[in-house]
Amino acid sequence: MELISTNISYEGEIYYLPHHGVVQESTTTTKLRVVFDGSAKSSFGISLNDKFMVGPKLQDDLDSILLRFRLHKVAFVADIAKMYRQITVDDSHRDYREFYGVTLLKNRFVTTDSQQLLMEPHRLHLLPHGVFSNLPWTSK
Amino acid sequence: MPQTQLTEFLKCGGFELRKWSSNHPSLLENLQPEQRETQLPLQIDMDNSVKTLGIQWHPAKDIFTSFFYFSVQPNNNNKTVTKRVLLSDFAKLFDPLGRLAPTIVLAKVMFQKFWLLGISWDEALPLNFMEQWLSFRNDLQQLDKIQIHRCVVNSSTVTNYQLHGFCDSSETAYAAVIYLRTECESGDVAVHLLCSKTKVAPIKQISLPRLELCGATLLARLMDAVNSSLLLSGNEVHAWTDSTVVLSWLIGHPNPWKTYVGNRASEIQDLIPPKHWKHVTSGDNPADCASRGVSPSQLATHPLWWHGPKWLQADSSAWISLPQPTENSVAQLEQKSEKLPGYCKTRI
Repeated sequence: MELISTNISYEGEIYYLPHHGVVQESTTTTKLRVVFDGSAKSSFGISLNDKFMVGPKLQDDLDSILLRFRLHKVAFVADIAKMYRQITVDDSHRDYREFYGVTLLKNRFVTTDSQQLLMEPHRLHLLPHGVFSNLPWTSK
Repeated sequence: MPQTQLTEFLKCGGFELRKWSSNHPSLLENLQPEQRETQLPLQIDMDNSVKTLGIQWHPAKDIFTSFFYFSVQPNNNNKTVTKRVLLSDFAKLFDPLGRLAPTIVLAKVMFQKFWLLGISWDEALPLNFMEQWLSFRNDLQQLDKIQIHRCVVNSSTVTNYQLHGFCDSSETAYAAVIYLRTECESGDVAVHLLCSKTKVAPIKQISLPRLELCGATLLARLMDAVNSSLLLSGNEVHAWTDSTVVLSWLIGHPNPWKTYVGNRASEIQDLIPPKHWKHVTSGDNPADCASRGVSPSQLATHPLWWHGPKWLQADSSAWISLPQPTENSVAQLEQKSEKLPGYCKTRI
């Protein structure tokens, strides 16, 4: 994620992704995760998901995996930690994944050490949850 | 070691593996406790199972358990049972490989019956139908007793892998089921249920031989899918049906048969060549369980369903050359009517 400098005027299409936090008490690892709503319609009436082609499923059928799981004496399972966060988005596509984040800024010039909440635009470099283009990699 | 290779390989892409579980302690020994889902030493008690791809697996015992998570709510009897409620209950039975097929087929058949009542989604079911469903639903908790061994290959020195498929049809449903039979160097034989599939018979009446043929088609497709997923080298395929009519249709060229039979016979022959088809008596046919249905309480201990007919666990000489029935005259009923080839007249 990168902060977009507000000084540079930008021409061309930008899509702002709405997002919210989801708290899952039950998980052992990530209690709070950010979920983006790729289906939200923008001011021109289309959502980010509308514009994505959902590709084919890339992994094997569940049945095949479960069948092969029984063939070997030793078996193991493991999860990939924070998978979405490991995949970067091509530079030219990043403008379509902008979101307004709340940045917690410490104002150093104020002696009382008060905190200020600012809304500032950010740009995602990584795959966000809740956007269709993720499906080919992760669908089960 | 594959574990290190996998970890290193995925690390190249920045993917870190966590929540490790295994049935073998040495795979977990090298990991930090926070990377493990299953802790060491491996615990035998039932709380130590992990959920993977929707299936509950108990690594220490190396078994699959808890196929079924539906709590019978205490207020359920006051709730009106509608088709909508039924479908929602029905969808909770997650059984991707069809191991509970004999029980689930009962629900499928019931659902079809309720459908024929012609009532809408939110209308209450007639009382007797409702009771039928609720008692079945109650009985479903018996499925919790079922434990299935994960590993179907008992020894590392397997000399022969065989896939045995059985198909059957009743008036209400047809089914196919596949077992893996392994022979070891020591001569030990193990037979394990791999997967099965069932379909309810169409509402439109179809003759029993035709339904049996639908069962054989289901088996041929399932066998093809299993074969291409397992990729065992040099495995043998055996297909069994208790219908001599179906066998008669499958032996020769499908040309003499009417379209319905001919098309299916031809597809089956493509997937499982005729020489692999054999006859099994109805009593020994495990697919019979899934075409007729078995109550949840009986399914947990049903040797025929979980391990196939007894003789399959014996030496192959016991079944490899069973006498095959001669052609069945009923098969001839599906012969195309004789027509002289018509001449095609074209105007010059």
